[in-house]
Amino acid sequence: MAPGASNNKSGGLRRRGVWARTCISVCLLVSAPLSFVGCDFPGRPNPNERPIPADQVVEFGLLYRKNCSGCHGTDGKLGPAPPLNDALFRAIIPAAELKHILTKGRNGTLMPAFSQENGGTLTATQIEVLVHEIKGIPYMIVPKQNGGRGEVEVVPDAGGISPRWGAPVRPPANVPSYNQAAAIVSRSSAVQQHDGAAVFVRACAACHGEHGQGIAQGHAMVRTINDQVLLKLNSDQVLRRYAITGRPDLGMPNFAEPRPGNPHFQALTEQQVTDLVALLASWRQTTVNGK
Amino acid sequence: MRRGLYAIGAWFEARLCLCESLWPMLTHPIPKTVAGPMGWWYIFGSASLTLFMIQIVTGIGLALVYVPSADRAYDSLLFLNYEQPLGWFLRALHFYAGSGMVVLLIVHMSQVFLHGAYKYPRELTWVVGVVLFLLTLGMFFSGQILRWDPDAYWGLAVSGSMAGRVPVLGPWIVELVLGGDVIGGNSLSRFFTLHVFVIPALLLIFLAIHLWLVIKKGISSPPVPGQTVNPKTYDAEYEQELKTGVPFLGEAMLKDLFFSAFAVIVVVSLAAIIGPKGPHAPPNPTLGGANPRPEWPFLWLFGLLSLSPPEAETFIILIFPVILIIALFLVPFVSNRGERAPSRRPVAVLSVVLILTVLGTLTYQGATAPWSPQMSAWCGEPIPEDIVRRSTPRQLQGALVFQNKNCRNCHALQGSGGQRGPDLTWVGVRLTSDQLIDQVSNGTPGGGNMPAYGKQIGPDEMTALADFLVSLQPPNQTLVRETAAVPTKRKEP
Ligand code: HEC
Ligand code: HEC
Ligand code: HEC
Repeated sequence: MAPGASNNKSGGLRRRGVWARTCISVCLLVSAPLSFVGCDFPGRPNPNERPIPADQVVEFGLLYRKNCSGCHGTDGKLGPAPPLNDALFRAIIPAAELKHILTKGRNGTLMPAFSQENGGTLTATQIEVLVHEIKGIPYMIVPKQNGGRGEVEVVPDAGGISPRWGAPVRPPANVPSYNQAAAIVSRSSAVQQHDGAAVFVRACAACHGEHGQGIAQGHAMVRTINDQVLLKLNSDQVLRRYAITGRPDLGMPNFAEPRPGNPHFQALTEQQVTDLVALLASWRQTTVNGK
Repeated sequence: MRRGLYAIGAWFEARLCLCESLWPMLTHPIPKTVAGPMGWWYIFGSASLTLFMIQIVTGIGLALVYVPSADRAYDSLLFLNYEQPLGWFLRALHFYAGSGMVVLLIVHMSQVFLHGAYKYPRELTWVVGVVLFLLTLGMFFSGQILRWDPDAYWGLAVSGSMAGRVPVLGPWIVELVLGGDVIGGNSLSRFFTLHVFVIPALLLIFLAIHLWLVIKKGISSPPVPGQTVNPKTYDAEYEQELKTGVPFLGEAMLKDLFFSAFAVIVVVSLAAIIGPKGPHAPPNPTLGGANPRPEWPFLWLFGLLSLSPPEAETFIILIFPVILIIALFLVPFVSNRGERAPSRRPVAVLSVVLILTVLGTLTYQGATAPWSPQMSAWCGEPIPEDIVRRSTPRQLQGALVFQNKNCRNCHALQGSGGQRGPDLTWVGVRLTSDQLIDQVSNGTPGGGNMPAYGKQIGPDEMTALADFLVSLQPPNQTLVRETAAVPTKRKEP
């Protein structure tokens, strides 16, 4: 440590120059941040990109994309699960049923429960948004009455957010009702299946084969619906729904549209649809074409 | 007026003796060559010190707003980002100055190592320096957790499993670090305490020791080939060298100041241009994100983990870092004498090059490696429409099983979806129905990368799934198969 003392003599003059340069450096250092003042900082976070916690998302597009599009298709069509963006379906499904299926899922099928109480990720408000959107009821998101800070609820409001897939259409007067569980069954199931088979030949066989075994295309069978695997994974409800709405995205006609080779097709009635479902349900146990 | 001020100053000086003790420190002599061009090698340590000062100032600023509780931490960061004027800048600066500190420390340590400056009598300076480096990494590690977003999860999960694997004391350490046996709000308070009290206090203490050693033992002169270190004669030689030395407060300090200013400009610009990192949604790290990543200083470890078989995990997480740390500490004890010049120490040069290359490559791997997915959320990627169009009703059910069981989180179809497992767009060409069922039921044997689904997928679901997967072939490929099948069929009666 001591040896440095010898240097102090010449240090006086030199030190002044050193200090001047030191000052410049320090000024540079201090003014560096200042040089940015007045610029528009590119690093400043864009308020529009502010992340929203998953349970506070109430925008339908985002909710749908995150939770439903994987099965029901990008825009509610052309997914492996039944299309949701289907005017007839949206018109006939009761809002209560919609809410029920979103909350609890559909037992025994691949439609999962979404409410948080049932192990899902959606809040009651988010489910309400989905219900309003699918049913086509304009709505508003308002602060919840007597709710805590930040709590919101969904209320119908004609001047509010209009549903992305459009307003509901009025279904034709003769449309069979959606609800399979509520269908009135006054006849024995054997009679139903018998009548159902006749309806099937009239309304479905052109595409799905006489007994639902499908039709040959090249060396493969396509459109096979008399298939235990398929039927066991589908509820009676969804089978009923397909009979009524068809699958327009894949070219299956609805209950009233003409069939191939039959332009004057008579629309299916409530009872015929119920009978058809009874027939399909019976195929769950016995299949002509198990493959 | 001036005389008044002078009098006040003199009053304090008479009692504190600040000038009396500080002035010699600032003007302590250093080897003459350090004041020359070689002196540019000596600027990295002081620059990281400067950035550390920035960390203290910005850290205090952040702590004024940050709330270390599980339900408010994330919100307070959003408040800083979007509402507090220049709050975002504070966050960004804290991040980049911290990153800069780590970078400069790595450069500083490489320089000291390459110049053999850790040799006698500066072994302890090196050891304390390693402690400082580890503490800085500790700051980074605990800091990333305070962000309390999916990336924070990685830090928590790793520290949890690291601690859990320590023999005997494991569960006790987990409790201590995570504040419970699972990750939760308590873990956040633990890491907050570490980040603002414990580690900074240790840093300051060891920093004082480091600087004390630097001043007491002096800085080494730039190495000259052939001039070897011999502990018996070194002290006398060094003293001789200082006879012609220059005071630190001069050229050397100017270089330091200049480079520090440059470092500050760089981090300030980065902060202003790139902005703060995160926080990303969702705010709850216990959920885990689709893609949590550790901060960059730990990416190499992450990359290494992603490349290694699961059996090696304990070794990589627990034993490997300890070996590395011990190796760093041992450096000056393995060789504290002899040549210092890099040109005479090829092994030293090679090992630095090798270590930095390996770390760089692993970091790259870590930045691009897929990470295990979040298993509880739906992958929103739709099944590609052309696949839906050409599927039979049963295959559509199989597609639903595929989505319902979250296979998509690891497997892409036509490029969209998780990257952990192979893309399955044409899997039907590679595997038969039986092979597919086997793969899905049993996963990767031995509990590897793909979970076994045998118990979670019912027989009908499995049949539909296999049918769907087999159908995943290029449309003309199906034709090829069918034509091939025709002759065999014809042979049958
Ligand atoms: C894992 C795939 C999957 C996801 C994800 C999914 N669904 Fe479904 N959904 C299905 C299946 C399969 C059915 C048919 C169930 C049956 O057999 O009745 C269905 C049926 C429905 C139905 C009744 C349709 C009918 O014809 O009766 C509605 C409404 C519905 N889903 C809405 C939603 C909404 C809204 C979401 C997003 C929050 C969603 N689903 C997410 C698979 C899924
Ligand atoms: C014009 C032809 C046509 C007619 C008539 C038709 N379908 Fe379909 N059906 C299709 C097509 C196309 C699909 C889509 C699946 C495919 O391409 O294999 C389909 C699918 C189905 C499915 C499976 C839906 C799914 O996605 O899982 C059921 C169930 C079904 N049809 C029932 C019926 C019933 C019941 C009738 C009679 C009321 C009927 N279909 C009449 C063409 C038809
Ligand atoms: C956690 C990630 C993960 C999940 C979830 C996952 N897999 Fe895998 N899968 C992998 C990995 C990794 C491989 C690569 C082979 C291996 O390691 O066994 C793989 C391989 C496969 C293969 C063989 C592909 C080939 O080309 O050899 C098939 C088929 C497959 N998975 C199907 C599925 C299905 C179906 C599901 C959903 C029920 C699923 N996987 C879920 C990670 C996953």
